[in-house]
Amino acid sequence: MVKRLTDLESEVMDRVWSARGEVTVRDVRDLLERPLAYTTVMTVMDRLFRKGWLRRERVGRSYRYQPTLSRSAYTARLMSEVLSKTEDRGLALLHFVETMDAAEYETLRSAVQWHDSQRARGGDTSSLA
Amino acid sequence: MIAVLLAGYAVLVGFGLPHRLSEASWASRAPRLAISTWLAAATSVACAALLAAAVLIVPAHVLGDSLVLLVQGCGWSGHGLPALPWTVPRAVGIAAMIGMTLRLGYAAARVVGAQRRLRARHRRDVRPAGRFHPTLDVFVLDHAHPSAFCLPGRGGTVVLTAGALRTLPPAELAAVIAHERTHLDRRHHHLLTCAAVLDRAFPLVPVFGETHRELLRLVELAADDRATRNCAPQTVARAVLRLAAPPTTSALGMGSTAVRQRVQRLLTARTPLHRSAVVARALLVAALLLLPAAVLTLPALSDAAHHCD
Repeated sequence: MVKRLTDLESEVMDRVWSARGEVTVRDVRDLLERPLAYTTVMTVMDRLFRKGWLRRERVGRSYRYQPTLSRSAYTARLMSEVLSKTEDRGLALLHFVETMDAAEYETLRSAVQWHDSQRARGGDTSSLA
Repeated sequence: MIAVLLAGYAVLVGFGLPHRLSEASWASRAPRLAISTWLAAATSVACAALLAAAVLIVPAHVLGDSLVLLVQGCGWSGHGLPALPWTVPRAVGIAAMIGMTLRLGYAAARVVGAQRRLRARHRRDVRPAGRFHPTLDVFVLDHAHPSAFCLPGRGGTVVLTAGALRTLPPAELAAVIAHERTHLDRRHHHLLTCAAVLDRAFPLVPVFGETHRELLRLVELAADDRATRNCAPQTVARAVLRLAAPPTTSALGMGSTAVRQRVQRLLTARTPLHRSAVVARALLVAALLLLPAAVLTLPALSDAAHHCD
């Protein structure tokens, strides 16, 4: 299990992902909006390496970094976590709606479609695809 | 005597009311009023139970006197506090008081702690993965499954997936964002936290568990209602249905009576509660909040005047 990020680490991860390819500490420092010391960025990226977020290889006197997980792979994992958070019961986040059971969804969809067809004469044209 | 009265009241409301209230059909017609009623009932039971214990420790007329004095603005004079010998009812009262306070405190610490941890984690997880959409003022996660939620608390924000942006027509997208923003603006998470704390502290008292369950349902209805101010209810209904669509690859779905009721409620024309019905429910809320304290002040009210001389 990959460890969690702190705020600065997540900011750096964001830049590494945006760069799409290998990056050096200097590249990332230039991409960050706020001016940070080279050593600060280096420390953060070193920590990200130790936490398993980045992998690196030595090129000359410095390291070139790459994300171990693509942004979409990370997002997929985050979403599956967020979607399965049913036991947190509205404590940390409020869902618009939970995913329904397929059979129940079909029944409800036909009910809404029937309602739409009843209203179709009223000029409301947008219906469910 | 008064302790028995208060305890009886707590048992009556704590065990009897949930049954009546959760079957009430007016709740989905006036979700905000129903939220107030549930919260008032839960608060009332908790206060009555605490006061019952307090009355066992300190005689009722002393407690009542000081309540009346505080209301009259005379301040706390501390006079007339008799010596309190060690008796069995007093020991019971002290034990009950300590027990209840500890349970409440422990539950509050656990719930709030868990909540803070989860929220900080979500905020951090979402930030590197998502991008901010400046015109919609929402966070967008690059994920195909259409989904929407909000992260409450400081720096609270609405989060949508790219799938939701693709799936929802503009009117429905606006409805979803309005719904989520209502949760944030009205601080629905605070209400849910209070309910969760009481539920966790006293899981065997039905009114607390039922308040928690009902509030989870009712805040969604209240947010739906707010969203229908700027669009037709059918638009909100379609948006709910679109985001509830099960993913084709997985069979994990929720038992969704609540979603069905929510959509059906939006599709059928609703008549708002009659004014007299609203007044009656509001009076019930006031009665629930005031009754425990009123029981205590009754014996004191008659001879209160001379205390201020």
